[in-house]
Amino acid sequence: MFAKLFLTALLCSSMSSYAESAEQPRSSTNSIQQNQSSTDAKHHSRLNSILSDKQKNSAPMQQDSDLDTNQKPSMIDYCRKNTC
Amino acid sequence: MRSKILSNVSALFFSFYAINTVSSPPHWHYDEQSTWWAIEDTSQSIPLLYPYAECGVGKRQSPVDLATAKFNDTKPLNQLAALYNADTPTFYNNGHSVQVNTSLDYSGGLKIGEESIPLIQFHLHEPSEHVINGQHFPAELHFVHINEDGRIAVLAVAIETGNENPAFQTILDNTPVQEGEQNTDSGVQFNPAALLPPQDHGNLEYFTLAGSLTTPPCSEGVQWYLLSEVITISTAQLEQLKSFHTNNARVAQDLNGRAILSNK
Repeated sequence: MFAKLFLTALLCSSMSSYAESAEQPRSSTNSIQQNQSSTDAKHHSRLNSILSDKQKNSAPMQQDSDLDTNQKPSMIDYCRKNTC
Repeated sequence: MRSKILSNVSALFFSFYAINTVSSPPHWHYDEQSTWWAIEDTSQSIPLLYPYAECGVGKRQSPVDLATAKFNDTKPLNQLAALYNADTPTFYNNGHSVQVNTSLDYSGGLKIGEESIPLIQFHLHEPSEHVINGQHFPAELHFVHINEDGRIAVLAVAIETGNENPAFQTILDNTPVQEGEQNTDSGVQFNPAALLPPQDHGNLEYFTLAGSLTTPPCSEGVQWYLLSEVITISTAQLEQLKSFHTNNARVAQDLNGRAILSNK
C-alpha cells in the first residue's frame, strides 16, 4: 500500500515538472506576447510534447529525406518567393 | 539541452516540410507573431502540422535588442566585403515586404574572410527589426545571401530619415503596388551597393551574431552582420515605403546568452 502511494506521488511529481519545463515563459517586449493566453501555453505544451515524441522517430524521417536528394529543399528558391 | 534538441527537431521538420510544400507555406500575419509557432498546415499530419514550430522553441532567434547584448571585440573577425555589382533585378511585392530579387546569373555577393556567398535578394522592414534599448530605426534593409548548401548570411543596414536616397527611390518606383506581383521586365540597371553606407565596401565595420530568419519558418543557422553605419531616406520616401507595408517587423527576441562580436 505504501509503495503504491509512493509511486502515485512520484508519477504526479514527474508530470508536473515536465509540464513546467515545457511551458517556460519567454520574455519579450511585444504587447501581444504579454497578453499570451493560457490557451497558448497549453498549445505550446502540446507542441513540445509532440516534438518530444516525434524526436524518437526522426531517424526514419531523415532516411526519407535522403532518398529525395533530387528534391532537396532549396532555400534559395524559398527566399526568392518569401521575405526570409 | 532539451530545448536544443527540440529546436533541431523542429528545423528538421521544416526541412522535410519544405521538400513537399515549399511553394505554398501556410499564411501568416505580423499581428499574430506571438503564435506563429502554432500555425497549422491542416493539409499535413504531425509533425508537419506545425511548420513554424521553430519560431516558438528556437533559442537563437532574430531580431534582437542590441542594448541587451554582451559585446566582445577581442576575437579577430573575418574581413567583410560587399562585392555587389550592377544587375537587372526583379522588383517584388511579396505581400509582407518590398523585395528585390537578383537575376539568376547575378555574380555579386558577400565575402566573409575567403568565402563568398551570393546575394539572392534584399528586402525592407518598417520600422527596423533590430532595436537599441527598445528603440526602432525608421526602417531596416536586409541583404540575404545564400550559398549552394543553404547557409544564410544576412547583411542588415539601419535606415534613418534624412537626405533623399535616389537608389531607394528606384526600388519604390519599380515595385508593384499589388501584393504578390513581380516586376520582372523593368529593364532597370541597379547596383545594390548604392544602398550601402558611404564607407569602404571592401572592409565593412560590423557587429555579428548567430540568429534566424525573422519571418516564418524562423529557421536558425543564419549569421547576421549588422553594419555600424546607417543610410538615410527622406521622410517622403519613408511614407511611400509605408504605403506598401507597415509594421512588418518581428519583435526583439531573447538573446539567451548570445554574444555580439564586433570588428570596430
